[in-house]
Amino acid sequence: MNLKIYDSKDFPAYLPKLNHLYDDLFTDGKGFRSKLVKIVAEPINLPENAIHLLCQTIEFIHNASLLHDDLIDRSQLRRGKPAAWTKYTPEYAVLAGDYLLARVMVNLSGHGNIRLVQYTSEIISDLLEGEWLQDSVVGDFFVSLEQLDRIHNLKTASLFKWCLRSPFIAQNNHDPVLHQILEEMGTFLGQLFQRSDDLLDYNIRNHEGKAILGDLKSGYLNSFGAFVTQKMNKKQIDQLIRSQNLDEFEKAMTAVNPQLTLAASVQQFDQLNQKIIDLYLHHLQEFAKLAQLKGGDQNSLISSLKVLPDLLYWRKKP
Amino acid sequence: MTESKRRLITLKKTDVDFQNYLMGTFSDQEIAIPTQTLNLGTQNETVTFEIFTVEEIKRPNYFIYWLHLIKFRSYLFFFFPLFIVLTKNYVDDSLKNPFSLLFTVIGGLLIYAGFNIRQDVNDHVSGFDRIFSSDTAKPILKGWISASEASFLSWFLIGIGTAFCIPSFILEKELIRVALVLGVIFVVARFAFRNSFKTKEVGEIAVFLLAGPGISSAFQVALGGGVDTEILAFGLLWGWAVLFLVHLNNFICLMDSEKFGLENAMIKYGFDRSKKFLVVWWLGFIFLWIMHHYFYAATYMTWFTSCLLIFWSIPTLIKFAEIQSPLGSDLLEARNKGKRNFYLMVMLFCFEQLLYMVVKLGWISL
Repeated sequence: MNLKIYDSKDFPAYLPKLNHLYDDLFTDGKGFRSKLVKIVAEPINLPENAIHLLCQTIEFIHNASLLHDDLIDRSQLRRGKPAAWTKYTPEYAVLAGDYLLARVMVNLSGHGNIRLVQYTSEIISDLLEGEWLQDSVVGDFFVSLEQLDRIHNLKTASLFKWCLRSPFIAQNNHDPVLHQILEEMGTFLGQLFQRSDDLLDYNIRNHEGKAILGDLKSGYLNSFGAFVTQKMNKKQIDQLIRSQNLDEFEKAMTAVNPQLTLAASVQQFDQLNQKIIDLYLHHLQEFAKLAQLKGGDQNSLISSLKVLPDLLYWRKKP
Repeated sequence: MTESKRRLITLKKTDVDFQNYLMGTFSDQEIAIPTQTLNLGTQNETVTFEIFTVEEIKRPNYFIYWLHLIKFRSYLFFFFPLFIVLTKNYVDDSLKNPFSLLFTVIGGLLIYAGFNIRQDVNDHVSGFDRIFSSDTAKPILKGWISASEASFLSWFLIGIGTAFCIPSFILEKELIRVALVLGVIFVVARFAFRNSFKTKEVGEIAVFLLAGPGISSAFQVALGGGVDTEILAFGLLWGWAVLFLVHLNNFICLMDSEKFGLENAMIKYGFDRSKKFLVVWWLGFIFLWIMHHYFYAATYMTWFTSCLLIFWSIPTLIKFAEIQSPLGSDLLEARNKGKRNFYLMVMLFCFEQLLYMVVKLGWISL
């Protein structure tokens, strides 16, 4: 499925630079969010064109956020290639991101489901709020895990919620209980994904080869960093954030408390996140009880949703 | 595959068992602790409870448990006005009715404890305790006591406390009028405006009146001194300072408060204007401090304490102005600085009152 094209006007031929930029951007993306949409949409028998629209929508929003995010963070690389703002100028990167969001609205409103348009607009607002807040805490190494969770709920989890809820909205199923449960499940998935992604920074389950301590060096204390530093004083945190590699990081940790090794902290962090997984699975059971799901392939849907924490947090291959 | 080992149950507000789980009356052997709340304050409110056996709940020792239960840290708001009223009347030789004051203090302490526990119960039932973070332990949310037991205990303490106040009403009849005024303010804020102390501007005014002029006047009348302008002026000053703490806490919770539709002053002004509001509020306090001391304190004390207060306040005010984000550590640092300013002010006031007493006792002369 070519997610780039829903309507012929998505990528106008008379703007070749824009097309090149999008080619670079969309190539090598994992498309995880659109896969999540399909996991939900296919078992409930959503028409193929609607599934395509939803998959494209979420990838457009996600990639628009990446274009803007890389510029805000001054990230040089995206998916191993030069970030769009470095290759095509910051102005083009901003315009390309804006254009994607505009196409989302054009395509969705053309579909005619006003509630889907409204919900998508809310999610984009949440995403931008999250970006804004995240930028406001860059350089703040004393931020708490709870505060970071709020940012991640807006910035990361909002898209996961959308992936789970939008197929039902597109189907005109607006049952409040159903959406409430999906909203929560999306929140947990987003949180798990973000926390797992943050662990990559400390080379934990880092099968993707993500740069080590990249967040910390960019002035951003991620969720694992906030977890490790939660009982440290300012002086100890100051020492920790000066680490240039993982060995220095662990030395700074054990200087505070000899038992505070990286492995022990990861184990505690995993235990904390297992509680979120428990809550997710509990809500999945509630979701499975709902009568509305009897129509489609409920077993397939439930079993697909059940393995998501393994994929997203534990980074197990399917 | 990861399977849940925890025992979780999700109930809607409309479910028959909802209240039983929330109030802790569903079982004698088990305790249900809310772990997650959805659609708070609406008919669609849904709470997920985690079930523990009684043995699984770790309680602190009895002493610590009670200190948390009655919110002992907040007793400053009771004892400080009492201390000021006592020292002022001792210096003025106007402490006429110590028995009436004694009964009022004992009764007041019990009522205060009862209302503190009641507030916890209300927060638990409304879901406030699950939404707004706090730096103090929440005994109901930790499973140390069920909401139902806490509710009974609160009414019991309020009842006993009221009974203790009866001798004071007989000894000092004016106290009945003061109690009635305070009661009306409390009832209006609590019931007419739906527990507005934390949620609406009208509740903030009620906090100002009750914590400031209200409690100070009650002590003053109870000891037979009658309401006087100095105590009213102190009450105004103290109420202003207490409200500063209220605004400060509301400022920290700005994002959550807005999400849940609260209508307090910080929400009304928004993030940037609230920063200025806090600065102006504390400057207003310093002005009131100077005026209060100009009329009721020795000149040297007015100069000394006011200069010290201004000196201490400058870093705090700068910190307020510098806050960049409605999240982040700056916010907590600003709150800590604001609180420290408040406690230093209390210590300064105590030092000043003790000095007047020492002079009165003839131990030193100034």
